[in-house]
Amino acid sequence: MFLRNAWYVAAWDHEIGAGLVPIKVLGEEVVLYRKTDGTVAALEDACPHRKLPLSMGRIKGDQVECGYHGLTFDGKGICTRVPGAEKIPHVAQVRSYLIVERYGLLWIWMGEADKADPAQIFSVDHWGDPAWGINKGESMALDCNYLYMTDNLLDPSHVAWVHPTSFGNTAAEATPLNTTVGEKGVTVWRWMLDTPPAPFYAPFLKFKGNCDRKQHYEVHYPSHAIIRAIFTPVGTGGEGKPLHPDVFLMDSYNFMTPIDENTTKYYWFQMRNFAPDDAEVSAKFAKSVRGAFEEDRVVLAAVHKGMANKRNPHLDLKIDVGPLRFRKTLSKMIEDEQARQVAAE
Amino acid sequence: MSSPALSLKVVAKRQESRLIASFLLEPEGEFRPFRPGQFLVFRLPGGVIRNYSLSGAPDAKGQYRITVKREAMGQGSGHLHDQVSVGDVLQAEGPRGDFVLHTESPRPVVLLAGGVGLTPLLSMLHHLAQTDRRTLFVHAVENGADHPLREEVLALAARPNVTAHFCYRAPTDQDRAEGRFHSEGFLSKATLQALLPLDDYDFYLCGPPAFMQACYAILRDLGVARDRIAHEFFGPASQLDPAPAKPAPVASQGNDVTFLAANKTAPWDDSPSLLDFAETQGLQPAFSCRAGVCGTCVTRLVEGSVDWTDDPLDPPPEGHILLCCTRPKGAVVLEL
Repeated sequence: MFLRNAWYVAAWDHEIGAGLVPIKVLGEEVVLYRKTDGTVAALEDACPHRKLPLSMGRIKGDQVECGYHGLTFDGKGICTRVPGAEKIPHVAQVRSYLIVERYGLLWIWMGEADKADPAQIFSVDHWGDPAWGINKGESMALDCNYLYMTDNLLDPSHVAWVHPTSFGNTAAEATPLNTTVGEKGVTVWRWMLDTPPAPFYAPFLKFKGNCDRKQHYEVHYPSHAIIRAIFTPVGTGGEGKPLHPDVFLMDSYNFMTPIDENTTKYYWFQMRNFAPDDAEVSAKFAKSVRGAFEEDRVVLAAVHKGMANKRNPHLDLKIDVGPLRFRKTLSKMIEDEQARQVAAE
Repeated sequence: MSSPALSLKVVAKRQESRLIASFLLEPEGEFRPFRPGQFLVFRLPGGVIRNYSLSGAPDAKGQYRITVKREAMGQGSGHLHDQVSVGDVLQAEGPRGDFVLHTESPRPVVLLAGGVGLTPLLSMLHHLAQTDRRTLFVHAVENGADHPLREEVLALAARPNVTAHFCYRAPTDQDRAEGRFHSEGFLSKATLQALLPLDDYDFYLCGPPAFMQACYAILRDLGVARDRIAHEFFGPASQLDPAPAKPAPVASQGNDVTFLAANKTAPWDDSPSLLDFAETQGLQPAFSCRAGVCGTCVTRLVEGSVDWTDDPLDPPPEGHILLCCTRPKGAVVLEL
């Protein structure tokens, strides 16, 4: 089940060039292409005549021509040409989707067009701030339902076992978690005091020795997360304290787009408060992050498969409070949305 | 669990066998669809809460059917059999339950029912009769007088993919004369072996504990993998314990916490939760999350009231609490 009235990432901006690009979002086949003014159009990827994917056709200026019988559609999905027909049937049209470009990503609106508000796109702090660097992101397909990924991103505990050589450290096993349920989503967080820095971050810290570390895992409905990592010299960390001049801050943005119930497209990038223009630092982080996310990918595919077996019960533990609260509210939102839909029909 | 109560009007009541009656129920509001195998939770007078499986076809839109055996001393079944008649309105929650037909599985299905345990399996049979999946429905009963819904099962067995087998433990002369059963005595390994060509089946078991244990042992003996056998015990849960203690009712007083089943009373000691308190008293209630999300430690609150230290993810049924996130307000009595 998916929340439809929401912005999802359709693609990286640079992935849409001169060709027709088929994607699948919330189980719907969509074709993306760039119009002559540089903006991107998104149409239902099926000609209404014999349902050949429009992505198998060709771009004609700002329009798409079907590769079977030449039916042509503009960027709004309206049919402009039916070769051989005297008149164009009014019903000849395909659904079009709103696309907004932001943060180098193309955001698609899958719900009712009149409810689309670009101001609701997940906000990225320090975007364009010259003091902050960007670890350029990538994407990967996950063989799991998107909610296993939102579970994962509300679960700071798994790092001790899944990512022992990168994000994890032993304190991550022992320190209790706090869960904050907000209007936009759920946050799970903890301060770990006087702890060795995680191996992944250690080389980039401006101070030596142990640190106070905050894990802040925040997921917004339907499936977008910011993971904030804070490393600060011992004694300077703690909730509400001012930031130390040597503080290390890294904000990791994670956007999940359900392809269907069983697969998820995962997009990410990070913002950091140091070495803004250092391409080597960016590349190093990008590589390490990719490696760590590969570890998640393997685990989550197996979890999806394991949880599909409903014969034997599974356990819910205290560490699942955040993920379960998130799922509960999201499923209520989806239920309400579907109820409204039914009522409107 | 959070869904509001259903008001169900009894539109028909039918005696199915000597001790078993069916009730056809129509919701006064919307009809909530159910999956074959699920049950409704009924709130009956006197704080009695009982689960009854839905025995009808899952696509019988607008109506539920429950089929209930009158148990000796049964508060729930006694009330339904004696007090409830057409036109009455019952309060229920649900549908609920994880013992459901795995509809996406391509495997042939064997449904093994003991006595009134046929109810969830009959709902599954209704569903399967609409498909092409090969299905064997085995029903073990005492004899013809205690054999509910025989005609309904036979009608479904007219479908080419469905076979029914009735096993009577002690058939009467009349049963013999009319040829009403296929095998006699307890359901045996030989009988099942004869009925089942070599294949990979999904098994669903439901019935009284002794029947379930026997069937399970036979299936395991036949080499059936554990994860191919889904089961649900029938009857009050206390039947699962060999000798449940029946404590005398205790008058609550002061700040005493009373555990009925354990027959133990102790003054509240300001533990973090009733779960911690129960553990310090030597009890071992089932738990998992200890944070109000998993529902494992749900317990009936017989008397008294509690304060919640955490909002439960799903509120427990009326009259129940989660031990892990409650503390008593004065004296309480728990069914634990």
